[in-house]
Amino acid sequence: MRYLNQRYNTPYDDIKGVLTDIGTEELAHMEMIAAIVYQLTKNLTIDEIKKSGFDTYFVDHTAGIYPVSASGTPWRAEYIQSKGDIITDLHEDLAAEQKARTTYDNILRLIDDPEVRDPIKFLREREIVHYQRFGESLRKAQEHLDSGNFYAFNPSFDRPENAHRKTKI
Amino acid sequence: MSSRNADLKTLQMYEFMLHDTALFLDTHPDNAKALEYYKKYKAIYDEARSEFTRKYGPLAHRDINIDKPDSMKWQWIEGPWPWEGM
Repeated sequence: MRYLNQRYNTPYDDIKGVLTDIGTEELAHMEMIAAIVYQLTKNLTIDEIKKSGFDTYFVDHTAGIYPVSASGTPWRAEYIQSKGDIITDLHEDLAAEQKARTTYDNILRLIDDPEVRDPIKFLREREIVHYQRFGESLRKAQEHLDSGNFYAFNPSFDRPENAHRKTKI
Repeated sequence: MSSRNADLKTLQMYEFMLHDTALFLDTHPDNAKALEYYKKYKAIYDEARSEFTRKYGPLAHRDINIDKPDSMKWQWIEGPWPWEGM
């Protein structure tokens, strides 16, 4: 959702492609996680629910699929950003991929079930690939902005002679 | 593994190859080797997908086979859905 929203104000075609394609892939990852949770919870007995710590979720959602963090906070739009600044957005995206990778690492430290581990390992690898592509995107964005400027912002954006560029950085 | 599952896995493999190559091409659009690789597996994927959907039914509603006699039947909603397992 973060990437698919950011792509509209992205000034460069190659990075529009990256945001579109990774954004689409991430929606499929959400389906995978939802399917895993569905399959893990669909046949729980009340006794299993009480013993496993699933009881608090069960009270709120029964076995319905609802996006909520492991510590109980529901997903909220404030978790993601779209700043209309390609440098800022790509840093947000690089951080998002690393945060996801750390979460998958923590799941792999806790879980033994190979039917859960294998898809989580796959998703972890994908976050690493995405981080690589976003890293390339950041390098390209900086080259586009000013090939002589390797500071991580665009100092020419607010200059009067560039006013005609409007929001296209 | 049923033959449907095995065939689906093959198809998913081709689809994943295309997707990952597309991500690479997004940031390396001038890489001729990657573009050739994409085209090669796009053709293999298209063939595998139409063969799969002819045999087992649609993976998306657009896979409806209009030449098939039972195409008047809306096969799209026939389970099991992916999350329901086999």
